[in-house]
Amino acid sequence: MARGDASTTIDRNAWVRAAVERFEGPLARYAFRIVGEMESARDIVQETFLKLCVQDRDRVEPHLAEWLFTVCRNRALDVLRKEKRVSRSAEPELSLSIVPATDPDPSEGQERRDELERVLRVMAKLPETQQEVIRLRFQEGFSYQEISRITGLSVSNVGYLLHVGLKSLRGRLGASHGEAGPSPSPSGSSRHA
Amino acid sequence: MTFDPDDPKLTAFALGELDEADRRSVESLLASSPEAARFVAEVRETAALLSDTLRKEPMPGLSIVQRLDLDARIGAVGPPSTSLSLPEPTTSRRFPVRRALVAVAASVFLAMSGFGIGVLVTARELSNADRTVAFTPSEAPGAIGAAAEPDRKDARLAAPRPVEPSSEAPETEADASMGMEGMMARSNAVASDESSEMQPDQLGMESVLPESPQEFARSLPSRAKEAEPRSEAGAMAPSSVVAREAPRDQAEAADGVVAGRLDKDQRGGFPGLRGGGAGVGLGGRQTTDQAEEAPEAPAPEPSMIPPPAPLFDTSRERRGVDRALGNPASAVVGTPGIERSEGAKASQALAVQPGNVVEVLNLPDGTPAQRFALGEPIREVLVDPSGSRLLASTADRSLAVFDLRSGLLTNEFQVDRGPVPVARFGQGGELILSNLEAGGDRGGEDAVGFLWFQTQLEPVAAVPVDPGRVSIPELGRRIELEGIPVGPEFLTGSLVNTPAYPYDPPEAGEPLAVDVGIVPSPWSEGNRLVRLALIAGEAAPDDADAMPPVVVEEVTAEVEFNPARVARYRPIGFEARPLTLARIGEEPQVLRAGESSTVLFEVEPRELPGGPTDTGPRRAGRYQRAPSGVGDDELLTVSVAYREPGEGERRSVTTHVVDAPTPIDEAPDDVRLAIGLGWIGLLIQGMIDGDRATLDRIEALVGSTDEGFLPDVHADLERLLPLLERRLEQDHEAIP
Repeated sequence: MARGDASTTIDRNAWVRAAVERFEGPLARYAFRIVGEMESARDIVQETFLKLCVQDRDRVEPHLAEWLFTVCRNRALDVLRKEKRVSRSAEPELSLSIVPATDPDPSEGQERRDELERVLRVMAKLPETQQEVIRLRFQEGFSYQEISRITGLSVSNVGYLLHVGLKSLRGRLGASHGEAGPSPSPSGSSRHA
Repeated sequence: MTFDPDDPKLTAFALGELDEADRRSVESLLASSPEAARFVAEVRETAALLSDTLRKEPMPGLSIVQRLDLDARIGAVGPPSTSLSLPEPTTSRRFPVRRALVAVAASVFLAMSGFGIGVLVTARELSNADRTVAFTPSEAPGAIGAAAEPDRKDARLAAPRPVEPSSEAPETEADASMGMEGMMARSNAVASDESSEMQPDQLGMESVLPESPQEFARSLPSRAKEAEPRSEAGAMAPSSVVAREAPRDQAEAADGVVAGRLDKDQRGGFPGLRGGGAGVGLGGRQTTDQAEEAPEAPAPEPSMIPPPAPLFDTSRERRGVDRALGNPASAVVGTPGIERSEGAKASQALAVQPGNVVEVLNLPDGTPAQRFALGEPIREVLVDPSGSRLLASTADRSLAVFDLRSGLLTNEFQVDRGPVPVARFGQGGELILSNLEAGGDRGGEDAVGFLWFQTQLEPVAAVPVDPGRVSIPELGRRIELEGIPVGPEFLTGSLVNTPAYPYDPPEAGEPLAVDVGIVPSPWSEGNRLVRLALIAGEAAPDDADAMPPVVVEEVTAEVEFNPARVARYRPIGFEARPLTLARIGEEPQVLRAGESSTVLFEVEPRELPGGPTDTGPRRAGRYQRAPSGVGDDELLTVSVAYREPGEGERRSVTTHVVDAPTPIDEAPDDVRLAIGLGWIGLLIQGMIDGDRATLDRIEALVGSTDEGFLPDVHADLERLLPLLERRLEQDHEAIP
């Protein structure tokens, strides 16, 4: 192997490892919400990264997060189809609701956990497609266009689902969360990759 | 612009997702409408809450073992140009922990969950090439539990040895949890008894008798109480409830042993089999022959022997023909439970009648003695040597055993994937399954949807009423992202069914038509492709319903292949197909006005037509031979049953199809397009080899259809094929 090739390979490996480091958690969380089992979700994420290993870096890197979530989603749906699952996630609001208590003030940590559980419980009542686009938007920070490409829904459909989902949540979450924090940037928060 | 709380633009504005023109429009609305401004503020508030909280949701990530494994593999993988050297990601390579679990699962092996009461054991070390499994009696309670936790060490090592059947029954509950060695020995004894009949790749089973009703209850899985309720007059249906609740993760044959994922609720199961106990679990009721062997048990409830059934109009004529021709479909059997006498003077026959009815007929007069109405189309039925039990194989891939005298369903299971095993009764009355080893043809689990079926073993294929549809642009996107093969879950059957083919409607007054086209296979010389379409008639729309009206309901369709003409066949993509998310739990069995359903089969003809047609003694096979006008040239029979809304009776349409393929360039446009789509599906899933020349042939085939024929599909394919070509070229370049 020529020196240049070796260097390229090392860079590439570092790039994949960085991607694993950064996205394994969000992807596992996302896959878990689709398949409802952590073991399957982890397998799916691992397969996603293995697929990344054989991709053309130049082609994937500009939209790495979108690519990873798309492949992860496709694989998760394949698993669901193969196993003929009836439910995508049984009682999801109870399955992943424990937030590590890292806050200096335990009471504050408890409040956050309670708030998260409340939001998750309300979200669980929404249709799955609404839950998914809400998560992709507010949990992972994807734009309408990116969500459209990940889910295969049209951009206008994504907008509609978010609109309806937020409207439902607004009514169910009530007005007691005005202190929740500053509004996100209008451009739709952070981007991956 | 006026304020409309249902306008998604308001939310898009709040989230910064509008283009310039729309943004200005909303801004001017907000300036004039406090209500709209409040709405947008609330959306932002909710969005902030969601962003703040959802991002704190835990992210578990990969396990340590997976990280280490992944790390090692990342280091081992070169740049994409060498991607083909990457080992195929298989479970055994990627997940050391799981591999260990699989090994444990293999040693534990599978207990046929709730299939009667007994212990499922291995008769020898299992392998794909030579597999025999016996399901033997267990006289002790708790036997299922014992089977689930055998001695794992011994399971792989102990050699089977013959043991006298009479000396093997444990007397106590503790004894019931004997090691695998003992269980294997017992199964071997059963196999020895069947030495003249048992063959490799067989699974033998037997219902057994509990010591007491209490033991009975303890031995049954808890869901047995949900078994199929019996209906009056001996009519019954296979227990779909039990089958559907069977463990999701079934054992899989792999790497020379029966391996499987160790589920949390490990019950195991034979590859593709779902076991379910029924009948015997209904209040501890016993079958008649069991009661004879166990006088201590409580008396069974009143017999379920039905009153004499009214005759079908068609039955007499059919029986006459059957007797004259010696048709195996009405094989004569002695049936002591009803009216037994030696020889041909008074015996009984089985006959499959319309409406999924099995009749037990007294011969020679032909009067019906028993009648069973099953819930699904019947593949075949047979009785055990004593004439006391009936085995029915149905189109939903279920096998069910009924007690002929009481009419009770005693055992049932459903085959999840792969060919349905050939079932027969052994001399001792146990159920023996063969054709279990089909790994060579099946290509493992990944071949779902593309399995080959031997017609001699499985002449009937169920056809989905709705094979689903897929988006061709979505397929292109997936190919672009992931390359090919895209995986078997992307169903070719759905791809074939995707276009809204402009079929000719049924003849006036007919709600449903069946259209069959046969052409030579363009990818496999000598094979035929059968395009089958179910076409619903037109009907005036119902103003109250936005959907077109239902024209036919309770639709079932199946194809019976003539074993004399067809060596094997495979459905292109839809057999054992996984369900799409949108269709989970709601397999439609209706066709609405103007709808159609299109599927594809690939058929491998026999080299010399005229192969075996007899399915053996004591069988009432479904293949009834073609009518005289069709003769041995029949390739297949299509049977479709349906009910028109509001009508009481189901109707059926039978179409006999002669083996006379049309040259592909003379086939109708719809057939050519369906073949082209099926070809693409096989290619993208790696089921056949392909290169640029292949794509050229596909393009030529699709392009040979009329320019105005489904132009949208043409346009989609024009975009898809170059993507495929690029991917194929990349793969070829990547080969060292």
